[in-house]
Amino acid sequence: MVKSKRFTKLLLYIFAGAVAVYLLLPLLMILLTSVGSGSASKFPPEGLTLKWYANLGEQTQFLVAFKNSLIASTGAVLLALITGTLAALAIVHYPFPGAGIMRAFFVSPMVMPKITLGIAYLILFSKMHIAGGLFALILGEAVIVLPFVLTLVGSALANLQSAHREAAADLGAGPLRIFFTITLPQLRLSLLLSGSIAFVFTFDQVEAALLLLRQDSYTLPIQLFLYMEKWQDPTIAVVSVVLIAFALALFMIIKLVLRSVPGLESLFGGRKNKRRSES
Amino acid sequence: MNRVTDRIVNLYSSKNRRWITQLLLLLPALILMGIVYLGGLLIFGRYSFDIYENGKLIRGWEWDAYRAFLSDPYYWKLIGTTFRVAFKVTLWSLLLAYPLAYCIAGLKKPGMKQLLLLLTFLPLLVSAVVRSYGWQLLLSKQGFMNWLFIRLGITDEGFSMIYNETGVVVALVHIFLPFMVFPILNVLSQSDASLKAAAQDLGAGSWRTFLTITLPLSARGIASGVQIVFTLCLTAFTTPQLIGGGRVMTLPVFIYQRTLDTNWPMAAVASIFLLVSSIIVSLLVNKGAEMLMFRRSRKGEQAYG
Repeated sequence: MVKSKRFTKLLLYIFAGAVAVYLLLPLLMILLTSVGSGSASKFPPEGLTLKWYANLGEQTQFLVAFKNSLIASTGAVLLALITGTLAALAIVHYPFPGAGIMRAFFVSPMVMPKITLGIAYLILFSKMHIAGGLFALILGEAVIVLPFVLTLVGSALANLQSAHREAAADLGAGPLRIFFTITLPQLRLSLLLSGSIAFVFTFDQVEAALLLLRQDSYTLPIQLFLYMEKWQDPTIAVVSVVLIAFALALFMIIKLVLRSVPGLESLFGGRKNKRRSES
Repeated sequence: MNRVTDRIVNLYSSKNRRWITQLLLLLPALILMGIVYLGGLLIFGRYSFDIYENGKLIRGWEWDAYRAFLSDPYYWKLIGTTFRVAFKVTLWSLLLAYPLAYCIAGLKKPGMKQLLLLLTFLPLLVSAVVRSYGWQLLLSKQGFMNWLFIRLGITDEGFSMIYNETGVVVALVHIFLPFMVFPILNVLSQSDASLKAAAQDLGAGSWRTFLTITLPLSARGIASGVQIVFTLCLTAFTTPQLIGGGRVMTLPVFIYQRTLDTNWPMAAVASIFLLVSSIIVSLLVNKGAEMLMFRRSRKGEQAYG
């Protein structure tokens, strides 16, 4: 009995290990390809080389695309953070009839197929004569990431204790002052969290950007996407490795900042559960 | 001048202050959502009633695109492919994610746990385009997988795994697996260990404990994961387009191609279909999970109050 239990456990570990390999394999393959000479899709590579990395310097379109991505994502995240936090404040701290419906409306881009949104943006922004540029993309992506901000900041707001705010109000602070000195500092963490989730999300956004952007404003995923459809040389692998390193660095930074905070997982879980019970 | 100021000050009297504050707080989000989101969708929806003939759009209020979409077997084949792929991906994700989540939840050593968690969620940080590229490298005719299969003697000339449904499913499972692991892990680590211990004290073997206690208790997590992965799959575009190479036609790929040749009515109708079906799937999964939960664990819930 004990033996069979241990055997089951061992099987489970082997299985989990295999799944972990499956999860890591594509990333390792990209890493290998980026240093391999010869054709990208042939295994095993014929030799090792760093020439593709050297080659990257000449591919200025990726650098431009990276800059565009940074601008678009930062803009969209800032816009979503500002509008989302204000709206969450209105919905949670100043509830009004229909607040639930309003919330559902603000969160609804989450279920909208992104390709649908991309095309809707294309048509709308063409009519407004701003299609093609980064400004249109910022507006469009802010809508896509607004739900992250609204749910995370909203649940943080609901968990805040009102005693601090009441004390400040009793001492004569106006609503603005209360917001900036009491509420906002307490929201720091959820702002950071929702901001970083939103940033990672918009940085990777293909559907909305693919149709909307002009060639000189392509973001990095779009540039990669189109490059991949045409060629498949190891330059893409090099760019991918740089992107993976960038993602890892971002992850480490966020992790360092959040290290002091326990119960982060339950925060995620709470968000998902909340969303589900509403839909 | 003074009267105007008075008016403005009066407007901001404590009686009116509340709703003005609300309105001011909501206004930025309302403007953004109203113009960009609602406006975009309404205009897009309007195009679904136009007529597309010989590469030209004709304004109108006709049901032509709807009728064509729902009556032509070609579109039903598309819908079938989309749902089949989503179903396969969801099933495989569940089969891979559940043991993984179970393993992570059961690990005692924090170091190992952290490592497995990191391995599970690392791919999430990497762009879907990059991950699709990785799978293209792995699955191509002369790629690593075929090299491995030939070495192992499973096949002589290699399988074709790219530009077909198999490749799309393998890559999509990779992309969406973390979304399945997360909710399951969440319920597994929240569920009470004393229930398991009680079952074992009463003489249930480990399989029986798993089937009667752990699995029903995690139904909510499974439902949540299935819902997320299935709807994400229905609307996934990047991976089917890149790995499918135009040969695996799912609804989002089809919508993209119709947009490129400006057949907006058809793109709009297909999008509306996609949206409605993913909402219906969500609702059905929710209902199913609720029924399952109540039948299996009402007693447990009562005991816990």
